[in-house]
Amino acid sequence: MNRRGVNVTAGVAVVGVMVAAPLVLSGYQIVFVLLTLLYIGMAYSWNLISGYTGYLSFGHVAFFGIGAYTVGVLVATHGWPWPVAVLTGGVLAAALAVPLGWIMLRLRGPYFAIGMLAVAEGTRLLASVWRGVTRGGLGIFVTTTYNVVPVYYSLLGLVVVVMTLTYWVDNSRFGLRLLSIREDEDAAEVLGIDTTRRKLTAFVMSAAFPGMIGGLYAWYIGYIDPGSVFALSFSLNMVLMTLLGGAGTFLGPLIGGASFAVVLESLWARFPAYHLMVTGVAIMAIVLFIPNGIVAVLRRFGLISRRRQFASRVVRRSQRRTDEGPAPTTEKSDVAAG
Amino acid sequence: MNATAIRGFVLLALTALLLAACGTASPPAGAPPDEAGEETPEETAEGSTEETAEGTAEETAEGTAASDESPIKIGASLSLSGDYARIAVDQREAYELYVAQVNENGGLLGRQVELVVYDDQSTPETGTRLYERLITEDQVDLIMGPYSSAVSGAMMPIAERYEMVNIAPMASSDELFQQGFTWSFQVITPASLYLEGALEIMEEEGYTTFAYIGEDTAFPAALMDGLGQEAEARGLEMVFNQLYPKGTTDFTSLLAQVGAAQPDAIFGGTYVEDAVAITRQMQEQGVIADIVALTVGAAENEYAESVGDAAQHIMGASHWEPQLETPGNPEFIAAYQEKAGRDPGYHAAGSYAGISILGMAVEACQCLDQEDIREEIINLETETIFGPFDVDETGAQVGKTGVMVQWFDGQKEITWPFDIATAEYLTPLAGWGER
Amino acid sequence: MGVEQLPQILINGLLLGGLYALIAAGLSLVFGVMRVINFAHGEFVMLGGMVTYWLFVLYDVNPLVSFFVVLVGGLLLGALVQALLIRRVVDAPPMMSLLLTFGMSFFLIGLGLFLWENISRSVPAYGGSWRALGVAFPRMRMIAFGMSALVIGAVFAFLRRTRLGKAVRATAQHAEVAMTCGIDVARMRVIAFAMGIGMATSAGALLVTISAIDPQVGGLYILKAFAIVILGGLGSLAGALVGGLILGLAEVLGTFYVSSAVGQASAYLVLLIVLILRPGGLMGTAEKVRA
Repeated sequence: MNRRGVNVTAGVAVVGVMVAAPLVLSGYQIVFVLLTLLYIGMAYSWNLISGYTGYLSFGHVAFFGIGAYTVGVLVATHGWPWPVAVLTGGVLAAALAVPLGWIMLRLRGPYFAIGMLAVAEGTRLLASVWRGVTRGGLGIFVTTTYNVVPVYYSLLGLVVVVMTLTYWVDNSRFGLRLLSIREDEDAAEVLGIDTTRRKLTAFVMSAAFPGMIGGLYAWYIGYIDPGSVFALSFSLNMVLMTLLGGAGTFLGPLIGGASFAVVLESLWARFPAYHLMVTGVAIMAIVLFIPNGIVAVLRRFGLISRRRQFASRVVRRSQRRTDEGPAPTTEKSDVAAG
Repeated sequence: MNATAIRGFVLLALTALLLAACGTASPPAGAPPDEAGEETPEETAEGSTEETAEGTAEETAEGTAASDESPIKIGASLSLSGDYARIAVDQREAYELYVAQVNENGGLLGRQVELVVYDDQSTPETGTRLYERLITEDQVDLIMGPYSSAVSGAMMPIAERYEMVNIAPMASSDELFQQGFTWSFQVITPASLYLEGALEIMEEEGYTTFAYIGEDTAFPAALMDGLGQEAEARGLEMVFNQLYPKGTTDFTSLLAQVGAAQPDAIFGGTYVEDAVAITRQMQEQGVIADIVALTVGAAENEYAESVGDAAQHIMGASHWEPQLETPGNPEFIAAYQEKAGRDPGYHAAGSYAGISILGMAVEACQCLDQEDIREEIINLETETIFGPFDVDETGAQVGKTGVMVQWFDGQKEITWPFDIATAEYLTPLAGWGER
Repeated sequence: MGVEQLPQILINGLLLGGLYALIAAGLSLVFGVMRVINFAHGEFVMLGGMVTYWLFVLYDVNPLVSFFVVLVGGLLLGALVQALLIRRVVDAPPMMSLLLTFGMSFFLIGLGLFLWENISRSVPAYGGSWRALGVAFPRMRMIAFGMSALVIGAVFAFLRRTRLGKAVRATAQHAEVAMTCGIDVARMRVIAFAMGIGMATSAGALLVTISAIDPQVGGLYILKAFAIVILGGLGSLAGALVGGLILGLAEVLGTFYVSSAVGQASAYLVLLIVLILRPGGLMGTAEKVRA
């Protein structure tokens, strides 16, 4: 079996194990995996926009909160069935991401990051203020039933979908274009890439999933209020997991998410007072020492392919057309390897 | 970059392994009895996880006889870090105190009691995970509720699902107990009634109007709704009300609006920091009324220390004061001081009372069967150090009222309920600088 | 809603704004010179306030004295942080410095929670108000305003009048050219960052006397500082001053005429409006440090 076959089989096997897991795991273990899947899903979403385009969104939790409140309001106040409400949350988040992205993505670097932070805070404030709909600080009691298994499978499904999407992005022309935006947006524009459209697409994709994940969170947790669904910890986890694993890669958020969940589990139980400090140091250490994440390290050891499929196909195709001159330089060295 | 990356990665991995290893070696006091490695069914290259060895007690399902030697485990998840850390520490001290006292006196049902406390970091999802762990992994016999409304709301369905009695000492939100949960019980006065005493005083004195400002979080919002209803019932009028976002530090404009409404009384649904800021800014801006009553915050010693003279004759809504002549109160205070090295506040008192109720119910039915314990609690009508305890079938507290205090020269006097007051309340307030 | 209360509201807003301006000016300076947005800026404000609290409670030190103590402390701390950490990401993609300071802010919050617990602290200082023309001028806020103005003025003077200050500005305008002129760019960056942090910590010292602070209060102030800095133009000190006053006014007016939530949200609204309409800020482009 070739490398690709191995990968696919491995992937299917993992998914299979995950599907069977609730039958053998204890209640606690299922919840642990459920929450880990939640964080990984968020990390993949963040990766789609911030990892590939370099537009760091520090306010992505806004979409999570929107999704949570959508489910809260639709289910508790209007009696909608929860799967429909969750999907609606995703659609709503994606829909809002269009005008929001249109406005925000015009801003570069720090402006964008800060702007998104303001958006998240503003959305939280809105949830507090719009008492007629969200009940403000009183919060919403979404459900009194304890819905672990359905949420587990829904999250598993979502993670599989977002990972597949990421895989496609990672190996497509679209992904390469996003990466070129990260490398040097002006150069990308000069090369004729419609950066606005690409960025916006990535942004909207990256908003839909938190919308649904937030909705599932609301259905799982049973009670939501502005403070808990717009919490800092979600933003923190998204960023940290993606960074740790490797931003702008296919496996990055998974590796980062899984290892982080495991490390955190041992850490905070040991050091409840220090965990924020340790997390802060961890982020700083990653930025200083392994800014490209674990995936980059694994690549150097050859454990992960260095070439992106699309880039490879392009190179091979152009090499066949010997009369077309030198190979087009759509790949730069670190785009292919990074 | 190559070398640095490898170095950094190795460092991180080593640290992680080291910490995980330290974890299994020696659990520190008060930490969970088992360590936190879990088998994740994913194939990742990362970290070593250890399947943990479970603790000693083998608790069998409810009803069947258990070994007399094994300890009874009571589990709880508290917000030991994060937003609510300060208060939750008091809660843990209170639980530990109770457990120590019970163990000294022969234990519960003749068995020693073991307390298992985890930190939910003030986040609801972590709270749910920990209660799952306590119930399914650690197999605790009994649980006690967490601190905040958000975490409570998240774990009450779990208590329902596993049919375990859940006493939530500090859960004040009325709505928590209006959701149809049958296994959760309230110890503290419902939020909507926090200022009942102030309203009674108003009625006594013939005042008719009041203004209310509060933080836009669970209990002040519930209090606002409660005040609205109470006002109607008593023929009073809430002439101004507004909730401010959590974290507000500048109240000058809000207070200007309050002042403009010229109410007889000004009420605040506050914690300590906003109570302090509001008082100071009222003083600065010259905003005053005949009665000023702020919940929670203004009843704490920190408040008087921070605002100094401005606290004079300000009323605070509390739940418990050391001077209260409830059964066992002085002993509790002395014991708590010895253990924690500081005076207990009402959070400690309420938590102590809550876990005492649980113990009482267990002793009363002489069993660990959750159904029976639940019956006992519903039928229980008693008085603890915290005050009266009586719950209705929804689990809401109906016996306990709040306690109004008023500051006189840096000392707190209880002014309501009238029958246990240590001093008479004083209205109207004189202006700033004239008291 | 009365118009007769307007003068009082305006005074409150201006006094508030003056303090915001000090916080924002530090942020602006750092960005102007080094193109680094210090996400942890709010946490340094918190540190300044907490240390002031400590000095007051443990050693009875008057907060106005602590002001200078934390100012100097902030300078030293800033220099240290720059030399050890910031320096490494100055020439890296902006993502790096953003993420590094993001991590630093969490570290500092954790440190704050560890050292001071999650309790609000405040230092009761000169209470009461001076009254004139039917308006109350809260004493401590007036003093705070004065001290802020003092520091900002000193920074202005430094950048304009002294040789060292001019060297700093040169670095901000074009680091490479400055280097060829013989300016020690690395040293200028240390100085700029140190000053930025010094301004943050001293603002914290003032803040703790006016309102309460807890270890997580940094997040609130950083957003306001960002709003101001972007309003006034990244890198412009005068912009930070004007922006600060505008934000202070917007907050109090928003709260008074609409609600507290709107007042609080005014920082975000201002931020978003400016980002959309005029990312360069009121004072023009963000390319130079303008004193």
